[in-house]
Amino acid sequence: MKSPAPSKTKKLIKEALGNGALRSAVFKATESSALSRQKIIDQIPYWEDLRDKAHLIKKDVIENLSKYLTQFERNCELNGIAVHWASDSAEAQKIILDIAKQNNVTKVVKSKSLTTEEIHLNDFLKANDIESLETDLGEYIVQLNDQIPSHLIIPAMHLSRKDIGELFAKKLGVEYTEDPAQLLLTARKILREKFLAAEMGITGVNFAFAANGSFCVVENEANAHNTLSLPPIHIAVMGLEKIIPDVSMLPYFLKLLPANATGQKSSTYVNFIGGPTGSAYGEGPEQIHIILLDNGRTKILKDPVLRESLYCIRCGACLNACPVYQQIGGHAYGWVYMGPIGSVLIPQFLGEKEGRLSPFLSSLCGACTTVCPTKINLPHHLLTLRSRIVDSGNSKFIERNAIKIWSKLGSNAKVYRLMSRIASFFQSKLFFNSPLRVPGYNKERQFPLIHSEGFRARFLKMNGDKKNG
Amino acid sequence: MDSRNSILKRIQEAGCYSADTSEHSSTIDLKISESIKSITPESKKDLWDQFKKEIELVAGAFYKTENINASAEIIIKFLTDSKISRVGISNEEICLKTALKIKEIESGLKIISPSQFDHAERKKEYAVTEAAVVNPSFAVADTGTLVFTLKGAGTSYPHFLCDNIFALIDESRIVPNQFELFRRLRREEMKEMFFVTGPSRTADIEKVLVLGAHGPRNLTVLMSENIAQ
Ligand code: SF4
Repeated sequence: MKSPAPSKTKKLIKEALGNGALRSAVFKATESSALSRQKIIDQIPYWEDLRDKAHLIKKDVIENLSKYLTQFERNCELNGIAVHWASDSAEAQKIILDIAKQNNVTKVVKSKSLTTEEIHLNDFLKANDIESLETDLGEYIVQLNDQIPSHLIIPAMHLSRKDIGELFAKKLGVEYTEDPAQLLLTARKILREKFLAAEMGITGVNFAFAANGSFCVVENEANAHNTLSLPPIHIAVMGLEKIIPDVSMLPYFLKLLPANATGQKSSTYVNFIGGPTGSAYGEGPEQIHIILLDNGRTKILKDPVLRESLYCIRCGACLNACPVYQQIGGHAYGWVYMGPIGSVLIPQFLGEKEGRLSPFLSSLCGACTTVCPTKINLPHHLLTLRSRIVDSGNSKFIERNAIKIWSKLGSNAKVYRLMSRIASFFQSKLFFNSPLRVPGYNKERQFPLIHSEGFRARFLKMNGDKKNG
Repeated sequence: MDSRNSILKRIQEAGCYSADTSEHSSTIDLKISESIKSITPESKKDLWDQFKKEIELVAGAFYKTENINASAEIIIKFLTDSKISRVGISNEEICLKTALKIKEIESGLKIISPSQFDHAERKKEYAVTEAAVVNPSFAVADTGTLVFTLKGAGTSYPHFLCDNIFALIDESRIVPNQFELFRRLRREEMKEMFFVTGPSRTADIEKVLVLGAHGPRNLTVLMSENIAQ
């Protein structure tokens, strides 16, 4: 599966900007998502209060993470759910493989989960001769296309119906059609069989509840419910931050999440799982395992300001609001998290060297923060990360040194004056008074002309004019 | 040190602090509950009107019927028109009663109930059954949501594997919103339940909405004033 690295972002952006079809697909989809979101919010007069509340709940959780996680662990065990802790991807993969081997599992169905994308689970299972099939339609499409999702909520946002029709015809051997209903029908038929035959189901977790040791999965397609209820073994992979103190706090999030994610008042299904149901109801999983995944989250927790990025509930609204994402789509970010939240998470998860370009993929317009349901101050975190990347020596050589020289010259008034005169002289003589282009941008983006008089002289003159006037 | 302890150690070393936000939090709660109060209909009738509006917005259908006989007639009409010969039911008594009523009128129908089959057979049977009669525990007015507890239903296969769902519900089971719902649910029930708001759907291809993704294509709510009669 193609999983481009964030350090290749420049090349990926060039490719994305040169792909008109992709840009128009992403632009249309983000625009329409933003509009339907707004329609729902207009009907909820207490929307801003909900955001404040969600922010406080998440703050409490993140500041008291070990308390809630151990409480959750205790209650899960009382409910018969096996709890596993994984420090990184490799450990999470091993836990899943061990469970699969112990139970002779060869067929797995999965429902959409960014956390399992984060640990590259499909590739890993495939390498171990276990069929692992995505069942969310968008995820199924990108898996068939050997790609990763390009949006947190709409995984195949970058593909047109024509692309998908051609893909199905090529990979599934069905007749070409562009009709979304027919395409869905094809996928539904194939996946229904897979659900019934699967020996293990794997999902993510939207919210886990410390006080009663249960969790929930929110969805629209019913694939998550089928994944949870049909195979005899269930594994849920959960980032440490997905916990909330109690299930009674869920209504706040169940208003915020669907409105922001898909422009719905309520998602079609919310599934609550509180233990193996097999023995009680004669159906449902006989074993439930939950994996609490760190994979860099405790590193993020170390920073008292940046830990706010763990408040994210992966609603995708910041992507839809971001003018940069709208132009380049998700793959250009080079990782499973994209858009403004991706730009904040990438350098924190993958390190400042690998993620050195990510925080710069933003105009800092602040649109992301105004839509964020948990009020994460994304532009502020982007700036903090930018300065970290510079401090750690991971910014570009030319940029770093140009700024150094500039700060030296700019902090001495006499030198500054002299340099501006020289620069103005060279500009008029060598470049015929035409402005210089800003490197890396289009030709309309230019530096302003260096004024021949210099700021000080103009300021004194202006002041003199005022006094005389 | 095992992973559990090393993760917990790392969390502790991160040096988090907990500022007391309870006062701020209660102020927000108060604002939210006042705002909700100002937009919540007071009478049961108005709540059901709101529910009807919301469920129709998400492509569900809603009928008010007098009793289960009337509900059974609506279901039979649909089954006959669609040439459906198998009906799945969930465990609640009302579903069985309705199924028997349906069979009384249409004797050729086959009723699939959860207690008839073991796990492996059960899922196969429901997967080839096109209609189901189910009984939600609550209806949530402000979102058009139905709430099913596994304790009540004893199964979730009919709700998810059958294409056409008929949800029978008593008029008394309406709650204005999810905040109220969580006050009414018992703690144990909250662990194993599912919320349903309309038929299953996807908009994963160019954001075109298509119903019947991996679950039902149709959802019809039949509300009766006194369902037990
Ligand atoms: S950062 Fe906020 S807006 Fe963006 S995905 Fe996360 S919760 Fe949603």
